[in-house]
This record gives sequence, structure tokens and C-alpha cells, in this order.
Amino acid sequence: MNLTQIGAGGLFAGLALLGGAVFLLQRLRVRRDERIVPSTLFWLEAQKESQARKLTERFRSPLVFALLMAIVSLLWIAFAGPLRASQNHASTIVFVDASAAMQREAASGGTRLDAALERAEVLLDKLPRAQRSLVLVGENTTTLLGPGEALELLESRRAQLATGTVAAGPATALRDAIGTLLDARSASSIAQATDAMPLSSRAWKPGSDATVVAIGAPASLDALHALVADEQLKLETLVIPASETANEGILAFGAAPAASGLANTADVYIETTGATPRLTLTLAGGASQTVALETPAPGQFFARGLALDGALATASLDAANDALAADNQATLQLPDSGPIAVEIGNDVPSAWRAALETAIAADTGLVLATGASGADVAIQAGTAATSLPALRLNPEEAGVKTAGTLRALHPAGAPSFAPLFDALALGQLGTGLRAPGGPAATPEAPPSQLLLVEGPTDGPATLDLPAKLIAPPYELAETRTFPLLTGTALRWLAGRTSTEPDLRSLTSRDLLGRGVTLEAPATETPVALELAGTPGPAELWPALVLLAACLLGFEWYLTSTRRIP
Amino acid sequence: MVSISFEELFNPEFMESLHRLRLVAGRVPMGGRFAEQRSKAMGHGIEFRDFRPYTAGDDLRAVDWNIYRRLGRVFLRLFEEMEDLPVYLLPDISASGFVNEAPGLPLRAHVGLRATLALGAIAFGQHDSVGLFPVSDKLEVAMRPTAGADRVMSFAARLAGLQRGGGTDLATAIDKFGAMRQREGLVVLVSDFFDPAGIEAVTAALGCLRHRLLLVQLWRKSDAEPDPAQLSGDLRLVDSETGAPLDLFVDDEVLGRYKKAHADFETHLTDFAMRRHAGLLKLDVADDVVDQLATLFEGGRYQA
Repeated sequence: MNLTQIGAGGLFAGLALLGGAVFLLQRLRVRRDERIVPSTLFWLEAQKESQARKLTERFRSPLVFALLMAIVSLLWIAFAGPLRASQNHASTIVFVDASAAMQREAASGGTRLDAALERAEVLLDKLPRAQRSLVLVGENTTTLLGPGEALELLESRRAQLATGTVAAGPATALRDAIGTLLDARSASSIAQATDAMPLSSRAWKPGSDATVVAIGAPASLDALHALVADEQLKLETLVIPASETANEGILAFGAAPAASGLANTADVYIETTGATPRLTLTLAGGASQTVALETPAPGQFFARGLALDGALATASLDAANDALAADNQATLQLPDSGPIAVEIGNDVPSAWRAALETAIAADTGLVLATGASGADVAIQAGTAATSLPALRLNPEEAGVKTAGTLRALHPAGAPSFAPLFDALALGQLGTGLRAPGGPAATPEAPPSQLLLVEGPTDGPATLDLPAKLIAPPYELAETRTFPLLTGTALRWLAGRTSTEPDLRSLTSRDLLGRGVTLEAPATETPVALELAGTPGPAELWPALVLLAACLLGFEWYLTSTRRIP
Repeated sequence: MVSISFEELFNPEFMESLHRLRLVAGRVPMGGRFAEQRSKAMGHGIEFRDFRPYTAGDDLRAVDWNIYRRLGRVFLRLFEEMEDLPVYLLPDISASGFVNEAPGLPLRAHVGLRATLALGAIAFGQHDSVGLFPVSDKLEVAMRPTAGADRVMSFAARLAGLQRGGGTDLATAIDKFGAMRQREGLVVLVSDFFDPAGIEAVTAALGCLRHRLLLVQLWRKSDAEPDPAQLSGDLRLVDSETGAPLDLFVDDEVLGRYKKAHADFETHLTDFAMRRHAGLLKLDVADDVVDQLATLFEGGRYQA
């Protein structure tokens, strides 16, 4: 027996409460028969010793209590909506597409999602309660109505949807959800699908027939028929047409390292449908500001040189009355990439110091630290131990095992050194610094291996440069690549592996436009449902109510004939 | 009017069945009319009673000259004086007698009136004087003591014409009857004796009467043994006289206390009758009146 209105816990709790209430009422119940007697003389005397009616006195009538408990129990169970269990019955699972395209205005007014849910409600109303379920497939899969649940629950659950608990998903979500159900069915492992669709999977038992009704946008429904190859599964699709109202929206919103080459800056790119000029980009998080946009081509917008200070970029399109309002705004969280503070030790030779300060001043991603506590990277002479990642000038060349000229130690080990090695062409430097008689670069032993790279280590990263590079014939500080070498090395030591800001992990939020398929208005398709298999489980509440009425009549008969008090 | 017609009350067959019954008093007080009861007075009857010595002034016609001739002394011959017995009938016409307690069962008041008529008819038949004083919460004088066999129909008409009374106050009514200082006779109280003042008050008042007493108690078996099928559970008992409701839950325990109260009531009434040498007839309203009266008249005679 299934309970569709309340759970087993609620059923038994209710029974216990009713039992207690009936028990108390039995003790307190008074139903007097009026009798006219010649005299109450003797009854008055008998009453003088009669005890008052109290809950603490003896129980009134166990038979009456049992009868009333049976009656109220039957009514309470009937209220729980029991169904007679059936091993094999057909089920109908209605999937409603909640992809971004369903946010478009429907031809009948409102959004297509609202129209789809209304159609689903009409459909479910025609189906037996125990054989139907409704699943909303968006970013997450949500069961709106489980098998046996009353249709009245759908209204409150739809109200919860209105608060935004279900986010729009991609167009492929519906296909994936039905695929998950098919996989679980083919494997006869309903439990695997329980987390995703707990109620719908419960409604569809292995070996039983089922009908899947998918209601949604054409883009979501197109790929469904290829999924269903099960003879026991019948698929029906219902297209909710969109209105013919034109739509303008944001199609793309992204960021890239600034073309100017300035560190810690990015260029933002926005693409919209149409050539609307009514796009604004605002930054919030730091000081809110509106950014000037370039329009190199219709529908394309650029904002150049935005500082990567963690601001939230919001692109807004002034097209509130178009078919889809959801794609008129998008946001992008920019990373927070502040400059690297560099501390130059006092023991650094003056020639190096001047060159290093010039290079740091020229790099917008670097800044000289005012104190040791605020520094990210240190530059020092000698190989003394340091608590900060350090660029060290090694005049002693002590402990160098290979070429003895360039030595790196990094927590991530040798692989992390490869980008730096390639970017700075350190291979040539290593070859030039190779010690006489040392190993030569070969295809099997690339130049990077000529350098000593150690790690991983628990300590800070270090990069040791030979001090002789400052003297002729090298005069590294005089070369035009010295600022690039300095900036790249310091970024590498600071853990920033690229000279460019890493914008690959940026995620745009609320970017519904990417899931919108600009489609022609579809024609609404009728749904013809034909339930397969045997009739579903019968509802037992009418029989229970009838039995309760019979018991009530029996109790009345016993009372009226004075067989029970 | 009480709800009994004259025709129902004065049934010839019922009256005929009473002819064999007689009321006999030991010695009726002097001062009555000539009738069939022996009087305390010596009179001129035909039945010899005793001798006594002659005293001056005696009637010489009563001298027994045969004794004077044989003994030389003068004695008078004394004869019985036959007078009537005053019978005062006090039927209870309070509302408690008019409760229809069971379908087909006669009302207590009707049975009481029939018993009253029977006793009155017997008294009239032997030339005793009969008075009718209905009682309820007061005493009424429906018919002053009168005699004559031809008064039976009139007496029955008076009974049928009685108005239904209200409550019961037997003690007050009896006291009032005692204050009327009627000639000493036989007081017959026909009642259920359900007096709110209690049976003790009733017997106290009866004890003050200087009349001989015959108590006719109208009762039903269910008075002492209520049927649990009829009286159990939550009940609202309405007093027929006062209309006062009494709510109670009747179970075996309450029924037991009721029976004890009723038994005490019966015991008190019986003890009083024995102490007072009064007659006590328990008249079951479900049975025939004459048959039950016959049990009172042993050999057709009741010695008052």
C-alpha cells in the first residue's frame, strides 16, 4: 500500500494523536437519556456518593473506544490516500525543458516555461495519480510531482520555482536527463538514478511500460527520439512555440590579456545580436564606473585595458521589451591580479641595483617594496637562505654541479621551469655558460637540462644567476632583454607562471545568451497519450470511508440498543 | 380531572368482587350511628355481652330476675352496642402517580383510586361512614364522612372528579387531617410515599394520628430493582413533581446505592407499621387490585 498524501511517520503520529483524543473524549463524553421518573428521591441519595467524572477515573467503555478508534483510524488512513500496490503498471513521466530557450516569451503569453508547465498540468490531470510524475530539467533536475502525489501540490512547487530555485540549463540537459533514466533502466539499477530523479525513477519500475512526454523548445526535443530504442518506452514530444517577437541579447562576454601588453590589465569583449548601440558596461567591486566601449563592428564591443582588480563587470542591454529578457544582462567576475612587491637587498651591487630598479619601474606588474614585510619576492646577493622567493646573484658558483651558472629551485619542480626557460631563451644562455668539458646540448638532452633545476621543495623558490653575467663580455644588465628577463623571472618566482594574466578560468554568470537558439516559431504539437499495460493501482480511500461509515452505523446500533453505554 | 373516567373506575364486575370482603374493627368509639361494628358502649342490642351489679338508677328492664330468684341479688344483663366505623380515605393524587412508567402499565394514581374505591365500597356496604380526603402537597376535603350503601356511586363520581395534584407533602397533609379532629376511626393512606421530605417525616406525622392506620403502598417491582437495561449510562432523570433534572451516570455502583436507599425506605415504613400496629398493604400496580386486597382480608375480614 502506498501513501500519497502523508508519509508513514505522519500517518502513525496522526493515529497516535487521534487515539489520545478519542480516549479523552471517551472519558468526557456525556450523552444523557432523559427519563421522567416518579421521584428522584432515591437517585439523589445514590448520587450523594457518586464520584465526579474525571479523567483519572476508570475507563468508560473499552468496546466503544475500540470502535471509535477503528473509525477514526480508517478515516485518517483514507486521508493519507492509500493505493493498492501493483507490481506492473504503466507510468507516464513528463519532462519539462527548463533550458534558457524556455525563458523566451511564448506565443500564448508568459514564458515558454510557464506555458510548458501549464500544458503539463493539463496532461497530468488526465492521468491516474499513481502513474504520473513531472520532472523539470534545467541546470539541475527537479521532480515537481512524484507518483501518487496530488496535483494540488504542483501549484505550491511552481511558486517555489518563481523564486528562482531552478536555474535555466543548457539545451542538452533534457537529453541528458532522459539518457540518465534510460541508462538506469537498462541496467535495472534504479538506485543509480535515484539521486538525479528520485521520484520519477521510483515511478518507473524495471519491466513495466512507460511513456515519456517531453515538453520544451524544439532545440531540446530534436535529439530525443534517437535516444529511445526501448520497446517498453514510448516517447511523445510537445513543442512550446516561441512568440514571433524579435529578440536582442548578449551572445558572448569574455576577457583576454590586454593587447597593450600592460600587465594586470585585460580587454573585455562583448558580442550581441543585432547592431544595437544600447549596451553599457559597468564595473563594480572597486569604484563603480561605466566603461567606454569601442564598436569595431556591428554587434561587437570592446573595453580595453581594464585593471584586473577583482571587479564585477556587468554588461546591460537596453532591450527590456524583446522576447527574452534573461539574455539582456550578463556579468563577468574579473580576477584580482595585483602588482608583485619586490625587495632589493642592500648587498646587491650598485650596477645591478640600478638596472633592476629601472626594469621594475618599467613593468606595471612589479613594484618596489617599501619594507620587508610587504615584499612578495626578494633580490639578494649570495646564496644565503631566505624566507621569500628570491632571485640570487651567485658570485661563488659554489655547489653548481652542471654548467654551474644557472640554478633554479621551485616547489613545483623542473616542469614548472620549462615555460620560463622557453620564454627567456635561456637555452642559449645555458649553452654559452656551459663549463668547458661539460655536457653539450643534444636532441636527447635539450638545453634546459644543461641547467640545474631542482625540486620540488618545501621551501621558497629560488633562481640563482651567476654574478659574472654583469661583467663583460656578457653585460646582461645592458641588454634590451634585461627588463623582460627580470619581470619574467620575478613572476615565475612569485608563482605566476605566465607573463599574461590567466583569464582562462573566468566564468561568466547569468549568461543565458549562450544557450539561446535563435529559432523560428514552432508549431504546437498535439499530445496523444495512450497508457500501455494494465490499469494502475486503485485508490482505497472510498472503500475505507465506506467501511468507517458502516462501523459508525454499527456503533449507533449498539448504542441505541443499549448494548454499549 | 384525573385521566380516569367514571366508567373505568366504577366497573360492576369490580364492585361485585368486593361483596365478600368486610372491614371489622375491634371496638369502635362511642358516639357513632347504629351500624354493624361493635362499640365500646353497652347498648340494647340483641347479642348478650356481660352481667354487672345493679346500681341505683339503672333501667329495671335490664334486671335479670332469674338470677335474683336463685341468688337473691340484683344483676343487670348487658348487650352489645353496634355502631359504625369512620373510614377516612386519603388517596395520594400527587403528580408522581401519573407518570407513565411503562407502556400498558396502569398509572399508580389510577390503581390507588381503584383501591380507594374498593375500600370505600366495602365500608359503605357495611354501613360505615366514609370520608374522602385526597392528599398531595395539601389536604383536600372531597367528601365529608357519610354513610349509606347508596352513596357508592356518588363516592366513585367524586373520585373520578379529583384534580391531579402537584407535589407531595404528606406530612403537612396528615398534620392538617389530624387537626380536623375527626371521630376516631380508620385512616387509609393510599400512596407511593415518595415524599421529598423523606419517609421519616411521613411516619412521624402518621404517628401523631389517634386513628387506626391502614397504609396502602403503591409500588412497582422496578422501584426496588431498576432494570439496568432501562436505567444505565448517562441519564437525566426528571422529577415528575418538581421537574428538577438530575444528571448522573448510572452504573452498577450507583444502582447498588439506589437499591440500598430504597431498601432503607421500605424497612423504615415496615418497621413503623409494625410499631404502630398499622396495616400495610403493598399494592403492585401491575397486578389486579382486588386480588391483592383479598390478601389483606384474611377470610374476607380485615381487623382494623
